[in-house]
Amino acid sequence: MTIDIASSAAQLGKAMIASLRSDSAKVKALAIAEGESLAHAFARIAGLAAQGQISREEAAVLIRIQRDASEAVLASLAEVSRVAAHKAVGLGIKDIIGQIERMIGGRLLGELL
Amino acid sequence: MQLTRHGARSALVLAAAFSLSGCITAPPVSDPQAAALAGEIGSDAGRYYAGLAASVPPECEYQHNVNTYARLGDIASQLTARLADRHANAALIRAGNALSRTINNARLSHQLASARTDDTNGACMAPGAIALNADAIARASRAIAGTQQASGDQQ
Repeated sequence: MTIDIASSAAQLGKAMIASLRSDSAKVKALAIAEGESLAHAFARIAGLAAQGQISREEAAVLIRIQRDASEAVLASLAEVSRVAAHKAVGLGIKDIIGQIERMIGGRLLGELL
Repeated sequence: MQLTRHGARSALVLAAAFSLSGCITAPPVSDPQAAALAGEIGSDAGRYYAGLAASVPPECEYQHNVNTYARLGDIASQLTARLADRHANAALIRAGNALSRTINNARLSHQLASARTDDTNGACMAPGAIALNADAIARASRAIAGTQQASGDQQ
């Protein structure tokens, strides 16, 4: 039994790209939405300070709150991207690993995917 | 190009190394408990700020709300500890720590607002500031809960 590397590589690349395209579009949309939320929040903080509703000290703390919330969101998106990368690799190598396992005669990598 | 049995073993080793290397080292693991803690912070904070916006002195004053911030901070600490313990993932730990800071600074902003009484809001927080803090905690907690959803979808 042999494995056609060129064909498998093309198939592997195609599966990975399709998976990454789909997930990276979701991550991009979420990152843009977070950027918009942050910009709106800063504008509202500036407005509250200008109206005397909050002090300068309060404004500084409110800015830190928004900055930290955005950091939580973007760090979470980094994790979502890591999961997406894992999924893409899994989808990409599933087929070729199946061929290798059939050649060797047993499940060796299945549990890693 | 054809791969022989000997070559298959090499490919297998390479594939395993690829799966186990770099930023994709650990397979994603969905953690319902972490998602529940993040969700609890989001829902508790949402209810709390909705009530705070409608309250008047002395209920709106910081001193009357210390326990709520302590409770939110405690759940955030549990979440961060769980993320560090179960996932050992730098991005998730960073997200948990950022959520803890968000809550702690929300507490501080309330304290500052109550200390200042020379404005139209008196000892209460400005409604706009309440809305901003509620939104910040909601965004951060929802995002962390979402990472567990993403891991669950992958499994």
